[in-house]
Amino acid sequence: MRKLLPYLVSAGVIIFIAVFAPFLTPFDPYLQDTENVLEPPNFSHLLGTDIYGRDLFSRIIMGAQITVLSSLSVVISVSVIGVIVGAFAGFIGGKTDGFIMRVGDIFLAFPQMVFAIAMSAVLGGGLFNAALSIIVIAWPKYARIARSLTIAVSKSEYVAAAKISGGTDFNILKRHILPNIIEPIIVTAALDIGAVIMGLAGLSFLGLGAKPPAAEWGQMMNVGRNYLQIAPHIILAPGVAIFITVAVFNSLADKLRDVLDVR
Amino acid sequence: MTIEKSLTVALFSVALLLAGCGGEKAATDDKVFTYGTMAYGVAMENTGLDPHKSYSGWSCIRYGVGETLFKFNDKMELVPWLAESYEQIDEFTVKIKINDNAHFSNGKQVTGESVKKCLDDLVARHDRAPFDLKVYSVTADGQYVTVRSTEKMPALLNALSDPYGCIVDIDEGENNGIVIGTGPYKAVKVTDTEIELVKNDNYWGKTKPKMNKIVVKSITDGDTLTMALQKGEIDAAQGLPYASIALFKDNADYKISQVETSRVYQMAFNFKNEDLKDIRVRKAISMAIDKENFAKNLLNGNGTAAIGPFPANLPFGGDKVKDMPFDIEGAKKLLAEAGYTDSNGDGYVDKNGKNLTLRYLTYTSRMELPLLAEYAEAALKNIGVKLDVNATDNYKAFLKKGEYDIFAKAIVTAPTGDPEYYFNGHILGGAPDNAGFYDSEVIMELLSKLHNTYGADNRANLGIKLSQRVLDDAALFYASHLRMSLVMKKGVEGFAAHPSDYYEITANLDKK
Repeated sequence: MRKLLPYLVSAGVIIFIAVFAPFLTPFDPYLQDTENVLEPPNFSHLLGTDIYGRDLFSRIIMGAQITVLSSLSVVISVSVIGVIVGAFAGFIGGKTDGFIMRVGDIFLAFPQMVFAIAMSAVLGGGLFNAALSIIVIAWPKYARIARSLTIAVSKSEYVAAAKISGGTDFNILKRHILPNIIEPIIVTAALDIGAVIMGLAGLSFLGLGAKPPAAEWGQMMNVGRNYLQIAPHIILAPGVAIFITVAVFNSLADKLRDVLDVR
Repeated sequence: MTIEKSLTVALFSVALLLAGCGGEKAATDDKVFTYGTMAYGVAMENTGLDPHKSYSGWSCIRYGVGETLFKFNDKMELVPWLAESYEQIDEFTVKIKINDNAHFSNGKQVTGESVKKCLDDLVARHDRAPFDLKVYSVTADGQYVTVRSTEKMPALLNALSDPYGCIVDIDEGENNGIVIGTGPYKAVKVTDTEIELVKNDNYWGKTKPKMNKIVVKSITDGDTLTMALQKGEIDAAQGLPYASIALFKDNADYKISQVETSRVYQMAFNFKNEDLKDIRVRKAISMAIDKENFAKNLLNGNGTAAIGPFPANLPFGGDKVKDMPFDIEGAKKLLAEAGYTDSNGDGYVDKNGKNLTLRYLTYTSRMELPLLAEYAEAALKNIGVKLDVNATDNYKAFLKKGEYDIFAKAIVTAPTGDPEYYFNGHILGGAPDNAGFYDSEVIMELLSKLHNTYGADNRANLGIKLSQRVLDDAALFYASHLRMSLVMKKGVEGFAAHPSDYYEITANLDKK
């Protein structure tokens, strides 16, 4: 557990920044100051300003809220949906199980980006739709894990004992199966946080996610792309923010796997 | 892995790397000019060189293949080109004398008959020309061609100087996008992404073309275009992102040719919106956006603040008209007068319990438009008006469904140096591109007067009155005019931006 601490603290700091972002920004992240556009990093603007003269440091902090919190909610939704569906399928078995898993296979067959592009064409862009497209594609992964673990666990003696004692299906799932399959799910989810941050930022970078003027990291990189040669700080700042955040969550997940000893 | 194997792999990698670095020098031959442009492509509806097809005439004239009967000088005044002179027979008829020296690139002389054939084909095949020209008949007699219109056409010669008016040899027809024109260069290969031209040895003009070969490349990504110019793959570039132009400014290895164009960035207020029906709301919005600041700081000098629809280099543009001043307090006062106040303290004004929220539709293919959208959004927040920006290249679907309150777009207002075109197509009630459904009787009267008025000065005066009326009604907001830039290597000569936006490659082009 001690090995985990530094990673937990780093992730905690990022989440703290994300949650309390509006109180931590030195400037209004949306306030345009056209007299001071494209300023390089300096003492008053730690990371410089963008093309509208907005303070990049404030936008990065605000972006943590948008990027990190929405990614966390995506991961939580995906894992909850996936686990419920997978555990149910594994526990019930038979044709229902086959049907649910085939539906999952269909969604797994879509490449995420292509599906997100198609979805934005139908539903329109926006961060919510981008997140939705990730959820739709990603749940079968969790369902598969949950299902195979459920099948394994439901053959164990304590489940048989619970059945003999007259436990209802719901109770058995809730009290005996879910607690025993949750560890691998947590590790998978933790490993997914980084991927989802990249996915969401990637979609925003392509213009399919967050819309301007939202201070979303991928969106900010997209804007900064045009100024790569004359004002590289505009693209570097959100780029480094994404790098650090993804690295922190990935190492946390790695350590978590070691500690929980999930294989 | 053995040492030999590792060495082989390492050597192979180095060889690959070197191969990747080289191979870019071929384009820098002496008399070969490679031109990268954002303005050619399927999206612009101008692929191919056939002037009688959509906007392909722009490519025909831009890349030195076609020429029109008259052309515009730097002040957008008409001067003869393939034509030598003209005579206005009556209000419906004009007789044009074709220059005896004019020849097609295949050596055939341009006669009254060949011009007649070309104009007949233009009216038969082109989508916009018949409505602009209103041709009743074209007759030829030796080097003379006489055009008779169905109604009074004071701006007929201007309309004939539109790129679709390029005179091409109809007998030769169109072959894979290639046409036979009269310009200094002739096409040898045309695709949707590239045009290859060679010198027209039969060129009739006094100045002879100097390049042996010209390659026009469609490069629609700003970064790619920038790097192509930096690496020397192209000799000149059109449509560089503003951020990139800064890289070539104050750099002795490059030259920039800039000119004001009549391309305006405008916002049309949708008169079907209940809030916008109130002129005070429209005026307040117009007063809240600081155009000077937008042009100076956000366009970085690559544009000028607009007053009305036409730029200062046109006789009916610039400060000949007066717009609303930038005045935040005045704008707030107007909104309050109209009954909009922030009654719940959320930062946005409201009336009858509803916030003043407007749907702002625009597209991204013109880089100024998304900039203007974000700027306007922040500016209008200052007076408590909320903008819901929808910047999409699928904007036509939203236009069709009427899902917008403000539509911002870029438009060339005087492609033929005359004011009538813009008001006819964009301002007149019921006009095809009148996205705001602005409908004014005064405009209708002035426009019908303009339609029957001869003489450039008289027409300019009416153009001014029309523009002023639009501004007085605050029917549209004009943000800025495009300052067009052509960036080229220092050795390139005779290559200059023109206010019309469609004369680019001419016989003057040279490379030292």
